[in-house]
Amino acid sequence: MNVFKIAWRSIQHRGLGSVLTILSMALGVMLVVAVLTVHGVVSQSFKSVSTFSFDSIVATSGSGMQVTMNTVFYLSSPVENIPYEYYLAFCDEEVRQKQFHYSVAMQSRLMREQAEMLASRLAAAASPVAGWINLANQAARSGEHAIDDRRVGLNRDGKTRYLVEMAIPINLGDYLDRFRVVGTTPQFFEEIFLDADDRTPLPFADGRPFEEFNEEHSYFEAVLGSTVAKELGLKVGDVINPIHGDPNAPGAHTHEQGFTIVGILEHTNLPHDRAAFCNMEGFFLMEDHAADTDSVNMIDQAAPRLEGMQGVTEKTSKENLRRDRLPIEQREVTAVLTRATPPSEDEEFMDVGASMSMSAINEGTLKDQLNWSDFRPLRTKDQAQAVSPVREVTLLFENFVNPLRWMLLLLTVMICVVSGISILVGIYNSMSQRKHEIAVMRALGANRSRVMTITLLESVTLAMLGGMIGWVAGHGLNALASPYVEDRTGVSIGFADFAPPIPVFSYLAAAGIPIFEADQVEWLVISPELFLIPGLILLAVLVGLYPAVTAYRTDVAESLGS
Amino acid sequence: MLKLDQIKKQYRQPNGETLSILDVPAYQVAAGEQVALIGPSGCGKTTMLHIIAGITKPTSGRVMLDGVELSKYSESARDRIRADKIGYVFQTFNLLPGFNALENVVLGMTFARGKRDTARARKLLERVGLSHRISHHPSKMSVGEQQRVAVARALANRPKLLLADEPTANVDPQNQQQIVELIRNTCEEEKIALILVTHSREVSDQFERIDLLSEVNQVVARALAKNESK
Repeated sequence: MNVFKIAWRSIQHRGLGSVLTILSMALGVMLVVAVLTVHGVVSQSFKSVSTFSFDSIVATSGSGMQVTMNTVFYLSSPVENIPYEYYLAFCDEEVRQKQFHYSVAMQSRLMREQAEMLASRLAAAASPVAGWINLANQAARSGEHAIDDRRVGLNRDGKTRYLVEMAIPINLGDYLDRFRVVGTTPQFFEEIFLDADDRTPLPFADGRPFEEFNEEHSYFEAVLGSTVAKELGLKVGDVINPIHGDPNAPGAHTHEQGFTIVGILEHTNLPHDRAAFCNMEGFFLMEDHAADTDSVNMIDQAAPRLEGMQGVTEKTSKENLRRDRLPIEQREVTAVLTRATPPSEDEEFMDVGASMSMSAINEGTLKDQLNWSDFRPLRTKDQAQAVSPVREVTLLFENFVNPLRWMLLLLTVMICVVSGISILVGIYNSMSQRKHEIAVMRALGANRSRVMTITLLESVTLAMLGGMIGWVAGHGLNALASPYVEDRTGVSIGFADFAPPIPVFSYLAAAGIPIFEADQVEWLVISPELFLIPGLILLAVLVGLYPAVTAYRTDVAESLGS
Repeated sequence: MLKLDQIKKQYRQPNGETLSILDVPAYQVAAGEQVALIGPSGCGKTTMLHIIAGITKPTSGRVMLDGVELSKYSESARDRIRADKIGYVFQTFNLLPGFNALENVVLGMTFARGKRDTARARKLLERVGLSHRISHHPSKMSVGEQQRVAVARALANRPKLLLADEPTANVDPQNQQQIVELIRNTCEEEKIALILVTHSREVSDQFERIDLLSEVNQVVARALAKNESK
């Protein structure tokens, strides 16, 4: 029979007292584990996502935090949209020309050109003189069109294009069950990374990214995040019908237009797991997604007027204008994710690019320089803001999450200390009985060190048992609370998810504990949960020390007599 | 086997005076010899057993046990010698309540050198008539059964000397005789020297050698004749 068994028998003998002590310790450890894991996983997720792939979000003015929550984490209540021109300001000439091709302005110009050409031919056929006059008028009008084209920037890059290497539009507002629908471009799956360091794109568990246009599905393709697919039981080939607006709000309705699922992302523990991505072109074409604008009126007015003209009937019908893509005048975006142009030679250029881009938007200079379409949606605000998600998340953590974390950790550590003291009290209260048992063991030949060890082992065993139960319970609590945490933060925490690792000795070095040079121990990165084991042993030894010393000092003759 | 030489145990009282508890000029027990130690309450019998066992250090004098001067050693060394060479049966049994009968017996050899011989522990329990109570805890046993377990525990480490401090004081007359016979027979079979403290004439009368620890001069009167003690 070794000392462990003797200590264990002592714990067993004090059944209820031991159980209560263990439960008390388990409660403390459970809370510590839950706080460490939830805070760690959530903060890691927030910080990692916010530093991936983009450094600035252009969105409606107002709360930067709400913008970040919406566009990065797909949380919080939806924000208003901004004019499409902001997105165009980040596009290069090629994209802008392509976009402009689907504008009301361009369609109108084509219609007018065709009408004028027809009129001039008719006039030339009737009178050579009139033909010359008409040709002159046509040339003049073409010049106006050319000026008009330049005004909207058809033939050049957007004003802030040179500051960014990537700009991805995001459209929000629709839901699929409780998950957000994100209208975006196929570029999203090329430029939004799983790993920013090696630029690994988001991996697909099945299927492929949606295409801008597909012969079979037209503009109506979708990609689902893993959680959405799993929880809603959807697979590639299924068709989804987004809900317009918050599903719980009055007036929400399901769109008739469906999107065919062509891909499902792998589970990444990122917010993308909880989103349904739709092709933005298809997203725009759904009912109620075209802005209620003058452009609509223009189309409504222009169509019948032009319809009567010979040769342009098909081109000018309202249906034909809307047959293809939504004209850019009717478009809005919720946000534009941008990544500043990477440094070429000068390392600081990226910062300069990002800050120039942000200040141009935030100070309103970009707004003043933008060539606003005559058909710009009326309801959208002109003023946008550029938000740094890293800054927002850092502020969130500095001002709210970190103090709360420390407070919670302090509370839970206090619970552990109180639990530790309960071990001390439990052992100490039974000391009179213990003294007799210790004296018996001493009489049987146990030396002082042995009985001291047995008492300490009892304390350590109680703490470790409580610790293990608490650890399991803590992770169980995390698993139970996972749906709630996921709803609030977007992070799914499983039973086996540990608190994310931290660079231990760097923390110690930063705290002024000179164990090693911080740069020598950067590699030692472990989960703070692993500190629980030595921490508990230390606590147990500390609280067990007094009873152990009492055991050590027990007078055998006197205690045997008692 | 055991030799006490000029053993004195004194305590300093709060008033500064010295209180003499024990004064044994000379005392010897041969190997395998069985002695009944009698004397009035408070005369120092238990203190003498504690000094012999190395639990208490004498104020002066020497304790020789199996050729080793016990009183010269440190407390830790005395603990080790006690674990190896001495068995102890207490008046109040002192079984550990968290352990069952077998574990209590095994505990008797836990602190000694050599392996924990569970088979011997079982055999000893069988010998004291408790083979059917091996897994029972002390609280589930009668007083007599508890003392028999205590005897088995004291014998577990194959001691050279068994010290029994009024082992029958708390048991009924029927169990008293059984326990005395058990202790004596086992000691005889295993050639273990025995010092048994008792207040009971019935018990002491069964011994060839009866030593009296006097309350007055605290000197052991040796070899009282069986008849004289009556």
